[in-house]
Amino acid sequence: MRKKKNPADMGGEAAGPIDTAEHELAFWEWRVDAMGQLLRPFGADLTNTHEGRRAIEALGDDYEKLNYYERKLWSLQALLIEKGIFSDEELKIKLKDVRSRQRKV
Amino acid sequence: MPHKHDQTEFQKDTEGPDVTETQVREIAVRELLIEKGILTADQIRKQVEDWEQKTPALGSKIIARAWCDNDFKKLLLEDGTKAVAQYDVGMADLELKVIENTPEVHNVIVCTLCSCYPRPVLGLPPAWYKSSNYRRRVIREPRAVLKEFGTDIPEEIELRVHDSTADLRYLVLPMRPDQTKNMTEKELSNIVTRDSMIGITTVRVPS
Repeated sequence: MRKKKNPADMGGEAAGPIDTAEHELAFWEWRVDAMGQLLRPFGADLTNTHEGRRAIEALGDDYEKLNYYERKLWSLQALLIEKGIFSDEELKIKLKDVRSRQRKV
Repeated sequence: MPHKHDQTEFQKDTEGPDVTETQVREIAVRELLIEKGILTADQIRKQVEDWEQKTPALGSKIIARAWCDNDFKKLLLEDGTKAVAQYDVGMADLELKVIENTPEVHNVIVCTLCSCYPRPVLGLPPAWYKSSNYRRRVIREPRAVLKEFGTDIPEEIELRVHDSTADLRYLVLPMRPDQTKNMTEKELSNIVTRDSMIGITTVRVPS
C-alpha cells in the first residue's frame, strides 16, 4: 500500500474547476506575509523558505482545514515555538490576553 | 492599483467584536515577536507597504524591454537573476529562470507543493495560483486548465509545465504578438499581463 502522502503533495490529483476570482488580501494576511518574509535570511534570519514549507507540511490533517494564510500563520507559530522564541505557554497566555482585550472594545 | 492605508484602516481588523480567532492568533504572534525584540511594529508596517507597491507592472516592463533589446533578452534568458538586478530587483537567495515561449513551445508555471512564485518581479501570487485545484490539475491536464482561462493551445504546440521550487522561480517570456511592430517599449509594457507571464494566457493586442 502506498504511504500516506504529505498533505501538500497534491500535484497530479484529479480535481474540479479552478476558482479564478481575484482575492484582495485582508490586513492580517498582509501582516502574516510580512512577518514570514522578515524572519527569513536578509531579515531577522531566524528561518527560511525550506523550514517554512516543512512546517506547513507538518500541519498534517489541519492542512486541508486551514486556508492559505492560516497555514502560514500556524506554521510560523510552530517554528517560533520550536526555536524557543516563545513557549507554548506564553502563546496561550497571549491569546487569552488578546481575546479579553477584544471583548472590551 | 496599490493604495496606502491610514493607521485607522490598518487597525480595523485588530480591534472590536468582529475579530476572528485567526486574527486573534495573528495579533498574538505579532505582539510576541515585538515583545521579544525580534521585529518592530514599524518593520512589519513598512514591509506590508513595500509589498503593496510590488505589482506585475515591473515584470511587464522587463518583458517589453526583452522584446525590444536583444542583448537584454539574451541576458534575461541566460541569467534571469542578474538581468532583473538592473531593475533593482533583489531575488534574495532565490534563482530566477526565465523561459521563452516560441511558436513551437508554450510554457506555464506552477508550484505544486505550495505557492512559490517570482514574487520580487510580479508581486504576490493571485489566489488561483495558490489554489489546490490549480496545483492539482495544471500538471495533469494543462491544456484543459489553460482553456478555462480562455487560452487555446493547439495540439501541435508543445506545452511545458514548470514546477517551481523554494529556490528556483520561473517567469514566462511570452511571445510578442505580430501586430505590435509599431508599438514603443512603453506601449508594449502595457499589454503584458500578469497571467501571460505565468503562462496561463498569451499576450493579446487590445482591439
